[in-house]
Amino acid sequence: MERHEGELLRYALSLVGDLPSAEDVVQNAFFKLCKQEPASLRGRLVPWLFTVVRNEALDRHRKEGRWSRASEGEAADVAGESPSPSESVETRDDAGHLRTMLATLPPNQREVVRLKFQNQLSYREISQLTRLTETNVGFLLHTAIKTLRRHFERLDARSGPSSAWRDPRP
Amino acid sequence: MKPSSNPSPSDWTPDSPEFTAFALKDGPFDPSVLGWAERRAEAEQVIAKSAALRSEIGEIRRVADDVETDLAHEPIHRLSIERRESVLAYARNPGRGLPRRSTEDIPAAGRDGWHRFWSAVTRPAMGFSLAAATALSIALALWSPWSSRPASGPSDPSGTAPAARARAAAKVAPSDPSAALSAGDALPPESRTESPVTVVASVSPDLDGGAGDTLAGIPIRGSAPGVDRAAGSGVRPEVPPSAASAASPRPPQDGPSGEVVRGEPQLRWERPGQEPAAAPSAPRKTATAAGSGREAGPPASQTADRPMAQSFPGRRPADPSAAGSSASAVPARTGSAAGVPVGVGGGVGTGVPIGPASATARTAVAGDTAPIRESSPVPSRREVARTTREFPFQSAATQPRSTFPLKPGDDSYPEVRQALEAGRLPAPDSVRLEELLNHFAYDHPVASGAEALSARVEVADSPWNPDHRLVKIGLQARPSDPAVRPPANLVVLVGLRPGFEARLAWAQRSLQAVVDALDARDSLALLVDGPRGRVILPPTSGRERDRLVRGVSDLRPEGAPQGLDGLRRAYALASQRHVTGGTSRVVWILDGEFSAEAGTRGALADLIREQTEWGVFLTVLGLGPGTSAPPAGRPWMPTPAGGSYAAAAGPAEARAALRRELHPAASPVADDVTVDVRFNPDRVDRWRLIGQEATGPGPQRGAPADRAGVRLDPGDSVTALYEIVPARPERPVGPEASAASTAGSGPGGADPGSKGPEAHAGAGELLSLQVGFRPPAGDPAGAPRPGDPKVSGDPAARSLRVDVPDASRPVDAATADYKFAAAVVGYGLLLRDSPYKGNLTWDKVLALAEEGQGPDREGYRMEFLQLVRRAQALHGAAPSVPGAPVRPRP
Repeated sequence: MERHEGELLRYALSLVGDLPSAEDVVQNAFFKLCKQEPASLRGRLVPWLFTVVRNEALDRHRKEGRWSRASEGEAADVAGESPSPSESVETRDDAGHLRTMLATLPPNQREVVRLKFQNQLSYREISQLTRLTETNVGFLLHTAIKTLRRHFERLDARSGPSSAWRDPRP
Repeated sequence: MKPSSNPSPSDWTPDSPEFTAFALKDGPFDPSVLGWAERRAEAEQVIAKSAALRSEIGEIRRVADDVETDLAHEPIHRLSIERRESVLAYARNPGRGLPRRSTEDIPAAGRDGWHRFWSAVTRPAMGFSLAAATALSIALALWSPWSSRPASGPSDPSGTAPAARARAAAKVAPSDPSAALSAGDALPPESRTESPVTVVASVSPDLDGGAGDTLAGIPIRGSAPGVDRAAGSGVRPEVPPSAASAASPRPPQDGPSGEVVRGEPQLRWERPGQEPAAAPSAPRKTATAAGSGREAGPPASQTADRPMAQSFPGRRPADPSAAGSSASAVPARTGSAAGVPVGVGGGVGTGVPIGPASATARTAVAGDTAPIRESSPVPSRREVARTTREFPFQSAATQPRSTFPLKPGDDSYPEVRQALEAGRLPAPDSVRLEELLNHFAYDHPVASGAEALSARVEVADSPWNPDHRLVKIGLQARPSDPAVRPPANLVVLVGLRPGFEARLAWAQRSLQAVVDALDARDSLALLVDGPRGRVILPPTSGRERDRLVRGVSDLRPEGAPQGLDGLRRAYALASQRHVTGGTSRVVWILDGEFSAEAGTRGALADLIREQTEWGVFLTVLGLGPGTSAPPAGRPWMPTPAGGSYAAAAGPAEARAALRRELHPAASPVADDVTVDVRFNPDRVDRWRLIGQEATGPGPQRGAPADRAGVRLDPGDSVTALYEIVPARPERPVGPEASAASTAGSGPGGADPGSKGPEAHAGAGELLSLQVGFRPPAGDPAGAPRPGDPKVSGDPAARSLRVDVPDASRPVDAATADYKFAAAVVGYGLLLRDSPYKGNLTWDKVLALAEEGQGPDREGYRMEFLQLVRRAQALHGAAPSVPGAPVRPRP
């Protein structure tokens, strides 16, 4: 449990937007895990857990969306609370800027980016988890990276010290 | 926004999603997908012809790396104790229906109240739909070949990334069910039901909710009633008096008995006694502490959990050179782009093989892609939140393969040293075993000539458990070729103030190392920044070694540094000599406290900018703990092209930083390096990698890097230790047995490609080490040669293999290097009060460290001895009975 809960909680949090709900979701996933035949999950426990968490989170979203602070569009990412990208973009040193940038992405891109770069899932695993085609996953990631890259470039263009320290060696 | 169809690589533009997939080595280019090698080869041919595409790839990878690094900084949450407990209780008896959840028991405060209420009301309906969804997902999961992620992720403490291993094996069968089974995920639910589960919970009394509050350990057995229900929902708990006053903490249960640990809950805050000191003493770890203390805080504390990023103000993942202390960081901007030809592969191993070692090199057809810049993940990844526990023992029967991080960080050693020098024991989490181990250089066989890498494996009995063995694995990249290095015109301006003699000593030691590396093409000048501004040494050829050495040892601080004037003089010296085709560089060594007077900042900035335009570059090297990369405090350091900054918290870092100045454009020696250690289950019962896993974020530490492929720069080396429980009960083998194996990446020997990816080490072997890598593009040795064996799948891949015979010897008969490595790790185990420390004592560590001094060319090992003595003294002052909290002295 300890091995997976951190990763799952972070993923759940990105989907449901608040920690108690995320904990609910992950706890439920573990309950479900207890009911599984261990043999049936050998070798695919992680994707299985992710799938359950995702389904739970989305289900919760549908059921409780009205009361949830987080609508799928905004607070699904904690960074929704941050100021606009341009305001916080100066603070490149603070890793928070990335979350701010992520918040500007559409939810589906955001999720794929997280699964790929935070949870280290492959295109194929992401596609199985999200029920998108692999091509679709590739397209979402591609688009997201392009967008993020533009943000980064803008950031580099204005920021002071950190880019000043690019090595000048010829 | 419609996904494009799959164009062939020749039709790619930077805008093709397939191109992104290629850069990420995923999707159709995932090594687990059938036919990826052909696609990759085709794509590489296209990309090799287009400089634009190549630079695009670099950009995509840089962004990906930035994103990955930043996402890794997100706070790691844990389920509350109560939730864990309810899951565990349920696991023991899954038949009795779902337990009630904490959120139903405790209406959450504030605006979540209705949300919770409705959550409870709508529960049955939700449960039904959840069941349906789960059934669907199970069906889907059963149907689909998920095995492409056999044992990665947090379940894989070895840190192996599937892609990396696939690459190493050059062959993988994603849909092969046996592969999935044999590499099975290590969290079989049955282990919950069978094993006596002990949750040691700590509850933070409601003092101020800070991480530094006293934590009291409360052992909960079985389905004990919730200790602190409020904690369960992330609501600030009331102080349970019983919790605050009760209970002796318990040591972790997976202790020295060597049980295979599977997913049992081991909360990292099991050592209450050390926590209070941990927070103030290790500010960089506050996020860790905050993470574990989260139960005491409100749920919205995510943002408060993030001081870690802030404590690295200069961190900029895209620019590895910003992290000056990383010994291996070669400026990625220029390093790979230079594409300097470096001979790789081909030669015969220089390592003297003792015992039946075999080495294999593989070369193959077709050029690799032209150099593609990958920003080094190392400096940034180091800051990833680490709630660490040590890797547990794994069963070789179910998990015969492992890997280890190739670029461990270098923070832990200075942190621990700083704590000890300040008279306190370090926080356990700041003691990272693999970082300590790799702080020192070992005598690995040096790869030379055309060889890219060499490896050495040594086996002996474990000093802390005579029934176990320690396996020391050393991997060494060929040192840089002086012929490749451009000539250097170095001017060193020493701006250390009186009172910083210790740092001056570091600087001198570092400079001596630089002097050793200089040759007739280079020159070095030394001057002191002070009221008199003495020129210790005018620009002097590297050939005049004696003068250089004398000059370095003549360095003395002479008073308040002048800043602007000192720098002017340094530039003037630099201009006295011009090196054709080389680099001119002023290295300004500061004690970390320097700040330019307000009035001179503009002038400094102008001077630096102007000189840079003339081709004289500046490197500022800040020495001393607490020196950080440049940014905020040094507004006078100007302009993008104006300078680089390195910070060194210790002599090793200082040396590495200066070494980099000499090798500004060193090309990597090997790219996409992956390590695959395969244990022979017939000879190995259980094994564990000595080091810590970071729990929480994604796969294990090192895994993302492994997945992307790590590059090794000239002179890089890495050392790993495995502790092994042999399968045979009888004590084997005397000192005469050969217990060290070496190999270079020369040709000959067995063909590892002939074994399938699931092949274990061969019969009679203890383990085999297989290192996969690709020569950097443009490397003439990368060209195919007749008779070279091919690695299936990847045309450019090579590998190096060491088969280690099942033999051991007493630790007394081991090499000095081995003893020293064991001493360093033992020191870490004792400082962590590790459950794996066996019968280790401080005296034993000291004895090993003394016997392991070896030549100690730089005096680091001697320094280590002092630290051990200090730690022993501090430990002597604290109770060190296992299980009792070790309270550092204030």
